[in-house]
Amino acid sequence: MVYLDYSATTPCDERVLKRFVESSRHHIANPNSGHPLGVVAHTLLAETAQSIARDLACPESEVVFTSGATEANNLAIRGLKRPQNAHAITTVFEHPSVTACFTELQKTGVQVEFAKTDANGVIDIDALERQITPSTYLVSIGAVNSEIGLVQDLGAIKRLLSLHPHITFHADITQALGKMPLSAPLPDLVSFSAHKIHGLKGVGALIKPQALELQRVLVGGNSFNASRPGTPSLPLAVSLAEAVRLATKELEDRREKVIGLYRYLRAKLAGVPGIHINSNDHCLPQIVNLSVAKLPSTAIRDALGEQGIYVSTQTACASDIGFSQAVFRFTGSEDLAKSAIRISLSHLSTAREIDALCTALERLVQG
Amino acid sequence: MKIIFITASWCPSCLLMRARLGKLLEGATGIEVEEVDIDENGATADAYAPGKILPVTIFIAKDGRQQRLIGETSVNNLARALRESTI
Repeated sequence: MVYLDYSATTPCDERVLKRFVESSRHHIANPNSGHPLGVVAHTLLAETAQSIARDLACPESEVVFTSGATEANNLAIRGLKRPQNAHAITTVFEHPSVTACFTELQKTGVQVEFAKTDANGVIDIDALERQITPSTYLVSIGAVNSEIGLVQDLGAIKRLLSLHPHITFHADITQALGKMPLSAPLPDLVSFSAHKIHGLKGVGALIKPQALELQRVLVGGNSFNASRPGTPSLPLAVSLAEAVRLATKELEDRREKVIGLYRYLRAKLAGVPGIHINSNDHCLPQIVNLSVAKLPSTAIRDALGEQGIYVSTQTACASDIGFSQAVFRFTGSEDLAKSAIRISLSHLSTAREIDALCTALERLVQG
Repeated sequence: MKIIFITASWCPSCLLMRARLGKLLEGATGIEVEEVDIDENGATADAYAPGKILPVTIFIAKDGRQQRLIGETSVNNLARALRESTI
């Protein structure tokens, strides 16, 4: 098997799995229970939250445990209180769960605007400043686009928005965490999931300021986090903390390995005729989006899949229509958007896997 | 007349075009707008054969004439299609 779809999901690290199993065995109580076992579980959950906040260099923040980044994005964007005549800014490169939240806001009367970008797709900070109005209450800009790997400068955006304290800055950092250094201080609200950083599927978090109240998107009784009802899963939380710890501690080693593999992949692809690389120099080395001349993306994906090589056509969370909105935005070409596939690497990838991919692509191009 | 607006919630072009369409139709009367989400109402959307590029904005005149705009288009193009469909 040649798995090159690490931006869709990653295999769980054994060390993360071990922490999950240990916690599942030893901490059986509900953290919301008032008896001594419940109190112990609650204390452990609080310590786990603190560990995540420390590892992400925001020790004063609250960690809201969620089912993943989609729920965290929903809570951040839909849960934030809206003023009258609300105006919000996002980008055309967001994950479907973010854009879908803004679609809902738009339908309830919020004026939603896209941040302007330069020719490379990077947010134009001066233009963003001009887009801000007294009614702007939310700016949501993801750290890294999931389809082409385009990186946004969250530090520069944060510096600008810190001059506008009426605005809450949200960022989905799912595709950035564990792949690149994150500039401190983080945005006001950040969302991410565990399964993109070699954690378990079904857990993620929203990091928020302690004092910021969010309206619940789920209803239910009181729980560990005021903004998220339901029994919190201590084992999943513990596993998330371990995945975050490893992703931050081992970042440089993992990244260095991926950069080497990325260079190898780009050199090999240069020798395959009919390949157009859609990602540019502002993109992460972990994601290489490319188009294969005159072949529909789903056909490329399926042909590779038959040979045991697994890649994506677009983010797994949008409808499978074989057209990448991100590539279309990025390149302006419908043809490239229709034939785009995403190769995503991790520190677990190997040169041999890249060889297999490039050989298969060459055969496909030759028909 | 009627406008069929085929969209998806995750589609940024749809968000952009919804705003343009809304602006164009401000104060307009006698125009029915039906938004069809391809994920929520797949069968209804399929009946209009939307293709790969979203949104699809279909202007249907009273006499049945149809004009179809694919993807993002300017307010001017929308206005032209609206004018031609109301003649």
